[in-house]
Amino acid sequence: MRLLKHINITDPARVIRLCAQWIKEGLGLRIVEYRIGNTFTGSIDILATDSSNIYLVTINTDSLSDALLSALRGYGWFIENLDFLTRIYQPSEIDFSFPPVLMILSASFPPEITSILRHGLKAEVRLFRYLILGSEDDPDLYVEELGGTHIAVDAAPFDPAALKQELGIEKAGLTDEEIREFLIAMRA
Amino acid sequence: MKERPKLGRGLPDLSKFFLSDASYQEHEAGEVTSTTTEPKTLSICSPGSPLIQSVVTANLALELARHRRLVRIRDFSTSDETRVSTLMGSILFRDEGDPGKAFVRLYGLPEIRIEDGGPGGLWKEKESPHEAEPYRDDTGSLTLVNAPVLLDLIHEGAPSGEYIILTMTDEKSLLRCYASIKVIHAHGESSRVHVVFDEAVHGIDADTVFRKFAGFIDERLGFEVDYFGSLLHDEHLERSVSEKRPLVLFDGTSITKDALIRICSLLLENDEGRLMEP
Repeated sequence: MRLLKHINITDPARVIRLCAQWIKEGLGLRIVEYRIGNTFTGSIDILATDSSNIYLVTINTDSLSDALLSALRGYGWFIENLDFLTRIYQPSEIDFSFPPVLMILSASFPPEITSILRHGLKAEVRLFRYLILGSEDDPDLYVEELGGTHIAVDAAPFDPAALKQELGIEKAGLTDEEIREFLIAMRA
Repeated sequence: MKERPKLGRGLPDLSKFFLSDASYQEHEAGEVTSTTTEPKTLSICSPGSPLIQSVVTANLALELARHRRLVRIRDFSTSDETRVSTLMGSILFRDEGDPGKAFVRLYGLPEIRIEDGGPGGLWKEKESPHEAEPYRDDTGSLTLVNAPVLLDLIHEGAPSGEYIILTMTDEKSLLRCYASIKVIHAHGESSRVHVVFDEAVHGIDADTVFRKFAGFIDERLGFEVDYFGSLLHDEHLERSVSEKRPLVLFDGTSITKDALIRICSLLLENDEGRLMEP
């Protein structure tokens, strides 16, 4: 049995390369561009897409608060420059009619992060925690998506009847409105 | 040769369980204490895990017996693996005349009687109520009902006065728990419900989750539920299940055992507190 040691790679570009490889091979997304935007008005580490979304990826290599701000600035830049982006990329490369999704990869997140983002942002966000193990020469990247965000729940259309059946609570007499209010209260 | 209940079962069974800080008061060994004389029923339910439900039932029965309460268990588990008698296998005696009945008899503690109703037991009983045998002395007794499908239990007209509901902290599990509480409330406004979070996920603020959950119930149903804490799982829990020996008998440090003991203490405190109410 081999125990893999947690390592800290100091070169941010190397971490971004490792994450980009995982985005392609692990998530199956297509990377359209690296480091798009500018340092003054906002930038995105990786612009990627699949058949239904555009992903604005920010990879935290230092401070999470800086990375969050960077992700929000990158999102702002993307929205403000959508016309320009539509002109310079071919529709076959990326379809800008797809909804944008903020994707943040970080080595750690505070426990309340999903709640904060849920209330603070209109945009859809996916959070991934990564861990680099092994050695500097032969690093292994492990990534897990944080569960329980509103995105995961909201991704599927709200179907109270199906939910009641799934949970076996049909006999309890819960109304659709009551279920909706319950979910809102628990997410508050 | 028939196996008979023996007086001496070895030092491991004696254990610190019987030498612990449980209130012995001024009673002689074996004498039962109770704060009330009315027989009571407590249903234990864990929609997400029948095994954990039975684990809690078995351990709670032993802890209550340690506090000199007369306990019987009515088990309606749906599988052999999750039956209370299976989980208490190492300390169990079978009734030779009736394989559906079993006992736990430990030194100086009130006998715990276990009745295996089986998955359809509740419905059979409803059809033939005369077959439901009363306990030899129901005075001050506490019946723990290990009911796999709580909503059916209540709808079939067998509600309890008190419930412990174990739930995970994800939205769906909490919604299912809320549905159960709504039905309990509809069938008996004086019922008491105690919520236990089963294995609250690391990083979740269980107290905050409970505050939101209880707040919604209070606002919507005008009903208060108690919080009996989180039941975290450790490696000793797994071992106790495989060794068929309830965890409260384990003579060592275990966060799961501590949580089970705390649930029992809160239950007893709650019971005593209610008597103090004007």
